[in-house]
Amino acid sequence: MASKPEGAVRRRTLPEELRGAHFTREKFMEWARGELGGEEPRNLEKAVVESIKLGQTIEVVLRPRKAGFFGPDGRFIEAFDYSPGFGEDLKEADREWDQEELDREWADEENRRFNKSTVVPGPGSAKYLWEHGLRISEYAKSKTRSVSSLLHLLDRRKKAGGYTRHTHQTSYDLYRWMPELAADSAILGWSWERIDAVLRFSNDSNVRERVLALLTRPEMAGLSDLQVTRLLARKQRSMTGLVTTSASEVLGEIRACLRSGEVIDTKAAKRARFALELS
Amino acid sequence: MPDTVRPIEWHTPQVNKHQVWQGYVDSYGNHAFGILQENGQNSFDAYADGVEAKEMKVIIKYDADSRVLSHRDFGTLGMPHCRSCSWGVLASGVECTNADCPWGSFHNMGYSGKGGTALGSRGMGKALQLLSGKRTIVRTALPDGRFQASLWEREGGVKDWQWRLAPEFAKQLSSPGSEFVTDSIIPRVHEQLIDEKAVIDELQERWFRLLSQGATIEYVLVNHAQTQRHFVRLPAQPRLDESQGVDKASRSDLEIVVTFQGTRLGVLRNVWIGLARAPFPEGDRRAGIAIIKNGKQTIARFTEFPEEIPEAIRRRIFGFCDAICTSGEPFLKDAENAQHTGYQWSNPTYKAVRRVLRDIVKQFVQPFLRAGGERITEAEQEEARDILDVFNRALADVPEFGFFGRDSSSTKRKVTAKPKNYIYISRLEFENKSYRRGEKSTVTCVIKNPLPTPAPVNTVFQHFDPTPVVVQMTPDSVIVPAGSPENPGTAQSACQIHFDLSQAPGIHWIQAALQDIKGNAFFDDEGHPIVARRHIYCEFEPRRITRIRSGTGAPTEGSGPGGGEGALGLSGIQFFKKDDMRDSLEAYIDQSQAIAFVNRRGRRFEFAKEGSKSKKIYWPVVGELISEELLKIRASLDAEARETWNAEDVKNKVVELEGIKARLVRRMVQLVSE
Repeated sequence: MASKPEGAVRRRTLPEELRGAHFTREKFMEWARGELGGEEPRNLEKAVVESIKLGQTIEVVLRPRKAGFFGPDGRFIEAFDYSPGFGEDLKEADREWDQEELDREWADEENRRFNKSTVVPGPGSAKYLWEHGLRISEYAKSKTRSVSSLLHLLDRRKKAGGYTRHTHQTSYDLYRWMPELAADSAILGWSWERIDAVLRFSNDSNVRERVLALLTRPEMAGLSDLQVTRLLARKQRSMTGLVTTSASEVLGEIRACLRSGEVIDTKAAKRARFALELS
Repeated sequence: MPDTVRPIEWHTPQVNKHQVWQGYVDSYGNHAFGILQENGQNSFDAYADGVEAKEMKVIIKYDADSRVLSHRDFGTLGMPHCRSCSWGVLASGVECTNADCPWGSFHNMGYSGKGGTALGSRGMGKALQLLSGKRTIVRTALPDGRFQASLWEREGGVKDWQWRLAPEFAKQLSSPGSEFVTDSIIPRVHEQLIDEKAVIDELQERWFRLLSQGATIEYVLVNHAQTQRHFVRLPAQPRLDESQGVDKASRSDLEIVVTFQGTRLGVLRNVWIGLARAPFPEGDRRAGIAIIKNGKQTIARFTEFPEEIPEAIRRRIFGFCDAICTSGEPFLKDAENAQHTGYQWSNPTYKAVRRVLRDIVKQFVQPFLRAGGERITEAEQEEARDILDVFNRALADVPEFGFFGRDSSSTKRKVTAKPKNYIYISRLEFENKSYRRGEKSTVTCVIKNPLPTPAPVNTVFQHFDPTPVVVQMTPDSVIVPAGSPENPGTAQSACQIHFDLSQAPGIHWIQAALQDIKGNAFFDDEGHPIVARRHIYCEFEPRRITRIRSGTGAPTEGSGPGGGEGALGLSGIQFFKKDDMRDSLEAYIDQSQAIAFVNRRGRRFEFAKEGSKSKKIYWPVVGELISEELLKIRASLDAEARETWNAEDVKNKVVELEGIKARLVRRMVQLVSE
């Protein structure tokens, strides 16, 4: 009798290079993929990771992120998430499964088009983010799916080098903010970090417009992404150098003006620029 | 007659204030709203301690025709002067700047002495009213019957602001309190004040907690000789989403202690959160959780809910909480912006508050969540469990198939412990596992010291209710004797946990964090604080996990008739589609997951579906397919049990296995038809 292939849930001893302080998430994922026949593994629980880092755990249980099993020939066969209830109409189940298949194909295709190798993070990636957001929006509308579930699906089905849900969310939010993005818009030259900082600064389109206007002013020319995040108070901790109280106040005033709609005169903009250069 | 003994003379603030004040006024997006807010603060601060909200009353009147704005509060303590001065002037003739002198600090200081626990704390509020017009008359009437007035205007109409006592304007008011009347209101403020709806909305949002408790706020607008009197009402509460039960539509917590790394920062009281039936429209100020300073003034709305909550639900969350700011615990005081209209995002205390609110909200919306934000009913969950139940009941009657768990991942994890070189918590111990509200429990924290010197250790016990928020925080000190990594010194610290009647029943958590005597946290060798947690039940019985065992062998056997330990039923049935395997892979059982997978395109499944009239008829086929797979596993296990098989043995085994399979299918059909 042919031996059964190993189950999808696999207990493994961590190799030496992944034990204790050597553990990193990237190295672990790469190793786990190999152990699961190339399938993306589920993330380990935080407590397990901590225990590994402490050197208390050297054995882990690996599971594929997708539902399914390794068939007799050792290939992974994906199962549906939806299971019909007992006595439920099979036609209804078929409809659910068809939708699931359609969504999966779309998500896989979208992840192929939009990942860290096809869209390199950095200045100019905005165009691809916007287009990705547009496709998410169109698919959600045409198939009457919730965007939230699609974003989760994209995240769940990403492979090595795939973007996380946050990036998909940013793409969609960018498109929602600027559904009619002009070809010469300054935003197209932005990086993900800059877009994310502006989007997270406020949900209000008017405020975002004011941020856009400020960033395109001559006083703000040449600001780095880190300085923009500092200006919009998104990443204060990662800034190097001393940030004086007065600089914080100056930036705080600029942020208040951006939110309230008060005019930021040239002097104030220059002061903010100076504060950013200090930080 | 007004209470005046000194000759009347002009007083100018000690430093030129106009420019400073102008800058402050400019920091407000809406000057008029700034006046409403700052005057409101002054008035509500002026009520004696213990005065109930329903006794508070404020009337704001704007005569747009004559451009006069007045603000009057009723029943307050007014604006008395201190014993050292007479209406803001010391015997030496110098202006009184005593922080405890309401009249003196209002008239002579740019910064008041309200100390931060009252609503206003920077004393700049008057600038908003003064700079909204050319001349302001301040009147006050004290509970003891004295009254006074002052006049504010700019020297020569253009220089700095100055004030003088103005007995010609003084009069006994209808009740103790203060009145501010400004004339020649500037155009910008005029435009803002005649927008009645915006003014009412602002007053509603800023003071809705006091309004809800019966306070009276009126806005009287005289425009084109028409007088409109608006009683500011409580904003309408949206209908709650009761789809998951009335009790799930809202939640309230009497008190939540906000902590940061074991240190108490302050307390939120009267936390109330609701989920509206429909999302709030863009710009609706009721959306989000209002953070109310001392149960009076809305400082900000918290709307940054966790992104894992679908937006459609995030936009339906609303509520409030009272942030208690006292002189002893000035909670969130430093986090406020200068305009008292929000908090500084990066302030650590506000961060901690955001964390707490996010945690509560995440738990609150749980019943409304499903992938995509749709709801799942209890009936749907029941239905999904039914099929497994049928299968496992059938399996229970056919013990020969009880082999799940053998290859499962549920065996105990190997732990290789290494000796520690830092002070650590060995364990937390309780007397009982479950308590009722009103009872007390002693929690013991066993601390180990592998260091060669004794260590004084402060253990901070925190009690989390199911929210999870800290409902009790108790420190206890102990000296842990010296030891070595192999034989560490041991000591125990303890605290008594109260299961108060106001706390929610459910799974509570006790957390212990170790600190040195100065209150600095102890860390392990990787820089993580030494913290241990353990759950404890409060009027809550954890759901008992019952699995129908199909095995009959002894729990320790792992084999025998029907299997032994871990011989559980299936944990799930899932479907897949493989057209190219319609004959070769109709079903499959992955023992590591204890899940049966059925090919939707399998030959027999398709056939059963085509020929069936009943909705349930394809389930016996599912049972048959799965039982065949079970049979394969059984056969494989039996084959491994013996080294050699003769023809007779094989024949008998096949008959036996077929019989087992037939019994399972029969039992399933029987259960389905019940």
